[in-house]
Amino acid sequence: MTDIERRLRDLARSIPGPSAEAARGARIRALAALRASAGGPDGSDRPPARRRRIGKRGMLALAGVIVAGGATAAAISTLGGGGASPVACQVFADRGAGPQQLSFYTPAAGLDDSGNAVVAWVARNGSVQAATRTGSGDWMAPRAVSRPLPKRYLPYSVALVMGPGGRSTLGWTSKAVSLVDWTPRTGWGRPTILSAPSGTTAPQIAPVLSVNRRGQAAVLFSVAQAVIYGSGGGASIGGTFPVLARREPGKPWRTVLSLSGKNAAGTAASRAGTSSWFFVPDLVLGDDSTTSILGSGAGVAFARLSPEGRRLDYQEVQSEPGPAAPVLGVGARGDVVGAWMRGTNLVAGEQRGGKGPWRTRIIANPGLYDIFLDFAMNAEGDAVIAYRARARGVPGPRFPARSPTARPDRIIEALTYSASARRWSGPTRLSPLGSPANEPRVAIDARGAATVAWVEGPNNGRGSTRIMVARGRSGRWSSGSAVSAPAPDPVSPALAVAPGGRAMVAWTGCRGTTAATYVSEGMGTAWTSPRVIG
Amino acid sequence: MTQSDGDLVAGALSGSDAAADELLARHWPLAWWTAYSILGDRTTADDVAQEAVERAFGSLARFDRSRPFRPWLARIAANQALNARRTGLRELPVADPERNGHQPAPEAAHEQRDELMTALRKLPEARRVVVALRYFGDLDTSEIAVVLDLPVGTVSSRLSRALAELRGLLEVSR
Repeated sequence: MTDIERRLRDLARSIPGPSAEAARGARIRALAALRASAGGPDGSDRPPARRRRIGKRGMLALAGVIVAGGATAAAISTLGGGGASPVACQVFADRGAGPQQLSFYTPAAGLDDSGNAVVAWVARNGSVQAATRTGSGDWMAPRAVSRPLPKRYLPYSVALVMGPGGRSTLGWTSKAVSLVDWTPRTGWGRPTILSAPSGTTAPQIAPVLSVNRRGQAAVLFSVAQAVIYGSGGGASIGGTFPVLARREPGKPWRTVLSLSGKNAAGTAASRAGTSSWFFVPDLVLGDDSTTSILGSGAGVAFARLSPEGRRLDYQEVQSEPGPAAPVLGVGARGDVVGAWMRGTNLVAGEQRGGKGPWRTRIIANPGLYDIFLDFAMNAEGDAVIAYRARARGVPGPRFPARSPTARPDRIIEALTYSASARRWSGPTRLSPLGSPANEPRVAIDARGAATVAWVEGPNNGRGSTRIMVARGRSGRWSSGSAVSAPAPDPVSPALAVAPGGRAMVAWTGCRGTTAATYVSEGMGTAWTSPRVIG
Repeated sequence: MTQSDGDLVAGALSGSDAAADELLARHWPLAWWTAYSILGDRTTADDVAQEAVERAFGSLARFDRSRPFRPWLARIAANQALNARRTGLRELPVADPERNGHQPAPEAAHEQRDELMTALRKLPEARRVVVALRYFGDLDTSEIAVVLDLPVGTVSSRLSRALAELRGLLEVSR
């Protein structure tokens, strides 16, 4: 043996081998994969009977959690089911699907006044794909911005924010949170992965991204406190804690607030008063570089943090439980506006100039706990809210429902907030009575013109479901107009509006047995014909 | 009597957790060292090696039991690691104090070891991987040939060139 070989062997001996923790993880994953493969005669993905039973239990758990409403419900359910995979289009059309399956088809979209546009989605092979357009050019063919992600860690959806100059950040959660930037000039950059100390993030819920007009960016995601694998490969979340990371323009991401591997879980998070938040908190990065966070769980709380993560403000804005994920916006003058649930009431609050106590009031009663609340605010502080509500006087389906998403007693309502008058409009029903409506998305331009997009139709596979849009201002709304052709199952629109008012809706629909991504663009009340971009 | 890898594979496929455990215990370090050899990063190696064993055990039914298990698994791990490397992912563990701007923990670094590591990092990837698989992964040249899908002769020549290059680099650094 030569000297160099001896030294190499010494070097190898001096490096510690794999940790016991990694070995445990390997065992769990290997055995789960072995069991999954054992179900099919040819090692296919068909789960064994035992796993299917666990899946049903997972779905029952989902049903229980959905009653209380919550973004984490889908995570618990799908993991409980022993792994997630997109459903085939026909299955979706015939049977309807729960919100967790809807999300697989939810694209994310960004658009600016120059025409720069990004639409991203989770493709059927498990990779995150994106189509882009630069300025007045045409759409580029979609490209994968991630490798195919492990089936058990498929993201439910992706998050996208577009900042100054069209610079966009796309994020998703697989085993860890991945962030990748796109600029019109340089295209896609290299991904950054933010991983939890345990190597486990709260499964697959898209991170919350925010970008301000200075080009700074922030991301908030949840880390699972404990993931318990059942004998069939299922898992559940023992608790989640938020992690906040920030990026200055041209600099790498850095963690501001996180769990420490050595501290008790939640120690660092408690600085922001966030450790008791159960639902995905909302995050806004203000132009003053502070981050505002609104979270709900046992109560509803607001925190503002300095760029270094120091707590500048913390208020419990509601002591009663908040049974769904809250929403938050910050205007250029520092006015903070948020909304959350109190029972089946929708509560709005504001903190003027970013100082002093919050003022809150009930602005609507949607009649449901889980209302798919969406919110947007422009720089002037004008805001729009849309949600799914129960239609009074319309009978719901008899249980057990054949198509749970196709409830005729679900409508879309919207409200606008005027920053100058400091008041909310009354709720306006945008969708017709008797036709199921779901998944509202909102956006608002610089002049306060709001847009709402949603999916409407019985979702019974008969080809009459459509993506609808309505535009409004100061509580007055246009009637809904269809941007998609009636089809078996266009689902989950994504909506982006540039400050100048140019709008884009993207959605997933079926082309035969394959899901495709469509876009339609609008100015005023005119919308282009749907176009397939991926 | 020690069971062969083939017997353990058969046992695992027939539903024996004990056989699967034994198979994993026997070969998990190899998967990890293979990944670590290629990636040079413990956290990423944990992840990639876990993915490799997940993939291997998930396709155990397709494994040809007349062939050795060890290089088959190492090849899966190597492919996973090379893929991860090619995607150029930058890992930023949120709880890594050094990366997060805090003071790095004191580490008893051996000067000679550092010197060798530095030299290793200067090798072209193709040669570095062969060296790493040979000395960190403890694979022989025929196994490395299977893992990297190369002729044995190519592996041997890469190894000998790499060792000569390392020797030169270490002499220059003195």
